[in-house]
Amino acid sequence: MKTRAWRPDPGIATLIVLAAIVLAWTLILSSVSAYLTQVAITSLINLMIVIGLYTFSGNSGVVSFGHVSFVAVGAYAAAILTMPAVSKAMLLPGLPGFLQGVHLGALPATAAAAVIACCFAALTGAPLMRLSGVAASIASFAVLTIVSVVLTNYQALSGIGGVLTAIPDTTGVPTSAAWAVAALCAGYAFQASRAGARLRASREDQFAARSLGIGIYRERLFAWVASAAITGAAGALDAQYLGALSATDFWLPLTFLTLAMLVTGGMHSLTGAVTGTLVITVLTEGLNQVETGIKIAGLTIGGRPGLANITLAIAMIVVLVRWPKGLTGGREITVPRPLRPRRSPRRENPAGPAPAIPRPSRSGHG
Amino acid sequence: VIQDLFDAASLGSLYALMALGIALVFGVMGLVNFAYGELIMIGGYTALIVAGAGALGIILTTVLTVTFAALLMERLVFRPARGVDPATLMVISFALSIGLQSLAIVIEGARPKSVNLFGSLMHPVQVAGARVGELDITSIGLAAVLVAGLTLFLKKSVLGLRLRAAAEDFTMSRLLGVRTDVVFATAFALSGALAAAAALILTAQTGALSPDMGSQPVLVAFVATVIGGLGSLAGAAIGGFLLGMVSVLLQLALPVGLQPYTEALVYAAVIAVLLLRPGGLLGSRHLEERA
Repeated sequence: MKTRAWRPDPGIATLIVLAAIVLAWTLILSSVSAYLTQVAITSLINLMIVIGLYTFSGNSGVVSFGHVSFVAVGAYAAAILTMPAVSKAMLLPGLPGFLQGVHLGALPATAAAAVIACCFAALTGAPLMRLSGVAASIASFAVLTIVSVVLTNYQALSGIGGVLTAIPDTTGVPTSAAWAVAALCAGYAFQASRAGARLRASREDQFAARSLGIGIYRERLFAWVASAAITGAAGALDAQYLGALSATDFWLPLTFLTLAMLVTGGMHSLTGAVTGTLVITVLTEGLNQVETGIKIAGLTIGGRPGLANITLAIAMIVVLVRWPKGLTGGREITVPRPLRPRRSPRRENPAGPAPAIPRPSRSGHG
Repeated sequence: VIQDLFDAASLGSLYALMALGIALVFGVMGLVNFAYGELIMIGGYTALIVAGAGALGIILTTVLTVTFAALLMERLVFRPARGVDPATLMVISFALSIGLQSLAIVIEGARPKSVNLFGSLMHPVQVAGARVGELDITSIGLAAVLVAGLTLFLKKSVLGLRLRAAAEDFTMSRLLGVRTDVVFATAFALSGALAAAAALILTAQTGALSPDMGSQPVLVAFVATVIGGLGSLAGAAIGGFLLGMVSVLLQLALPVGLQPYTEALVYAAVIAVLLLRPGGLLGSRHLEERA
């Protein structure tokens, strides 16, 4: 029997291309100006949130409005773990004793924040994932609201009005780029795993999936918890980038922004998550410039708050009405043919849309 | 105590109206309409503009404007998006909601405005020995009348029959000659009229307007439809009423230190209920997912 020559998995090629795009984007932006460096870091953190969102929503088909609560949990966890004891005694006098003394470095704090976000996700996911798709989406809003209310009011853990300062700002370009690439790898690993395949099967046809012995509840719960690790780490990085937190940062605007990124790019592929993040970042940054007013010959044109969001909303609606599957249409980026190893069979991309199977009843309902 | 019960019932009827409006559209086209909150916002600002026109004028203008806005929404955004899967539809409506809020900020400014609607309804009246706001009674009465009217419309009129048929089995109803456009437009118009009623009650009670005034109540109404059982109109109304009642009563029962957490506790209770009954209180037969 002939041994087959080793061939790289086309999926790995996708991952490498995406990582290269992200790194190039970071490198270009951060070499231009200090302001664009900030834009780059923020976009990398958003990219992590979007990848987390993709890991759950993209694979399961259930839209989540709750992932920003994982970002919040991660951010506040990292803040408490990294703040110097002196500031803690001043800002958080009500903090339990064992947390007063803890002071971790950036890396262990981020890892711990991811784990804490996972625990929180397991707690909330256990009831939520029992619901049907749309009901689960709406109920995930309840989670977001609960976290927001608690952060705003529970002073012992999150300061007065959810405002925390004096967090060591250790996140720079290399840290955020490294974490973003790690998140890409994690997102890819999940997508390529058996669990990812089972979850996508349940997304495409839940009856067929169930008849094959796939437990939708278990699969969704696993993805919910796994995606919380990525989003929790993003929150931790955010806290250590901004140096200060406010409960209002983790509410509808961030939910809208990250969801817009994922859906515009294409909810069903990792390429879509990256594309959406970059496209929306460029769009919002451009619009922010317009919103503050463009100066032409000494005259300031425009400059009304709200214009950026209106344009973003219109862009999103137009994209989604025309291309309901997003800009990438749920496809993954691949390496052009000549670069591929010879005779590699054209493979169905793992996250791609399956052929439509007519539903038994009620078209348009999930 | 009676006064508190009236307060609770009044908020409950507001949420019930909103939940009904949301459930109507969801039942027919599977759309979870986030922009519903903005219909209420539009209603509130319309009432502010015509606040001097007398009660009848305010009511007529608001209902007409909001219904028109709902129809416009259907025509411009949701009709072209027909056939898109529910998750994407939900995100589209979310974008529409944020866009309309921002539009209101551009036109009216972000700062809240105060408005005094139906000032004559502010006098308390005596009911069973307790002082109850006339406005509360009016809200409860209005909600009851609207729910009854809606039920009558759905059960007795031809259009209502078509609407129910489409909600029951969309493909089948089309095959039998029910026109999709008409059904969708009717659902949106009805939900717009309900939004107008909710907007009037809300602004009359709070006396405040802001571009994001619809967001919080609409989230409660969404949760109400889930609690009641997605796809069930009666469930939505009951869910909304219960949520309103529980919020007010919990707010009163909690010690002062815990009061800021009322909303969080209500939602936690909702999740607990869903743990016991994933299909909601009146679980719908039709939702195919994990029956």
